[in-house]
Amino acid sequence: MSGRPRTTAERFARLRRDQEAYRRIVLARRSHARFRRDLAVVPHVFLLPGRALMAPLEQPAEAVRLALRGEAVWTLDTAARLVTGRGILVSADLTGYLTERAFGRALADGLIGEPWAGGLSVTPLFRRPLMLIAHLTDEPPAAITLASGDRVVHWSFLIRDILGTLGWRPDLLTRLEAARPTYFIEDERLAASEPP
Amino acid sequence: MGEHLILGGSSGVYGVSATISAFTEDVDLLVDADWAAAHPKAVLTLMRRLGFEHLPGTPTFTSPAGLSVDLVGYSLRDVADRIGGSEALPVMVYADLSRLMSIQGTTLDLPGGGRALSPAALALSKLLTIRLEKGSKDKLQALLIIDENAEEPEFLASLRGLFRAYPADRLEDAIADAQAACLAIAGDVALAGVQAAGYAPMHRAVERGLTLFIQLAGIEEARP
Repeated sequence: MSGRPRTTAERFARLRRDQEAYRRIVLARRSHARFRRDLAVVPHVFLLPGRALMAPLEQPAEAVRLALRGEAVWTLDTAARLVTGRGILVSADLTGYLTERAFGRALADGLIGEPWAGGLSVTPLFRRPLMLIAHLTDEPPAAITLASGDRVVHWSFLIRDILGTLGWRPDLLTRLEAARPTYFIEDERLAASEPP
Repeated sequence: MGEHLILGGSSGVYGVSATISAFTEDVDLLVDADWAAAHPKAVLTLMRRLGFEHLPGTPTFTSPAGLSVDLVGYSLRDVADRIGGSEALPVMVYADLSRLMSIQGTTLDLPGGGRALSPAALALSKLLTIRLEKGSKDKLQALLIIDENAEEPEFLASLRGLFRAYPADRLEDAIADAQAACLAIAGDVALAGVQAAGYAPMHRAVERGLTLFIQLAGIEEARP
């Protein structure tokens, strides 16, 4: 590759190339019916360093989830499984918002092992034990309490978390939305209309 | 040539912010391509006198110290991407930039002399820039400018007004691009770890900028 600046003619050719490639990207985006709707979504980074921790489960996932019921606000794959009955990720980790104290208690009670120093991901490229992936916060996002007693993030926040973690996945979002039960939609409408 | 050249591109960030990074040190100067076409010798002579060498066939001038200056064209008589200027000094003319420069109040006078794009105009130009390789950088700078000026009513009104000058679908695409840029930096945040703690506040600023951009563009959040 030459270090010389591009000529104006080369710049024009490059602009045309970029515009053509961009046109294809735009067409692909707009081929999804939900394109305009998802423009309003501000992605939320669930795996924020310093806030997110990942620790291996020392008990069966079901037992850990039950032990953290009422304390965790589940999101991503765990919320999807609880709300729709189906997950969105192959690695069925427990993913949720927890206070530092609740996370510490889970560790002290032997529900989880020591947090891993690296490899923080909800889509690991290698097989690893099931994890509790927690975003530690004293102010968890607003939650809906399911009939089971589990708390999950609101639908709109789940979409934000998915975008902020996996990128814009219209196929996945559409599938997930289609599986959303009516009672969840109604509960969320009620919660949204309640004063804070 | 001060009245004819306007600080823009990433170097335009120097004109509007003391905190946001311009990322690179090359300088983009916006120029009316029709004026440049009429005065090529004057431009080349003056730049040579200032110590800059013109690279033939390009809009680029370089100094012995390594500073690189690019002329970036706009036109007040048409809105089209084309090659303008003259044979001696050809410059790229950008349609989006031409539309922007035809709107009143899109430049500001710099305290040290010269002109630069206003914060709102710079943000918009970066939101609309289409570049396959460096697109995210433009969007991040735009979102940081929006966040930095979030409390300035004049900026907000100006940006809202500029949005109205462009077709709605261009803004929709710009939002989608900004979301993707936000995700790109989110990926950096996730991978950087605590050693690169500076990423986290920058990401929050980008996120606030995106939120405000969506609001100003009039995109409503869909209810469940």
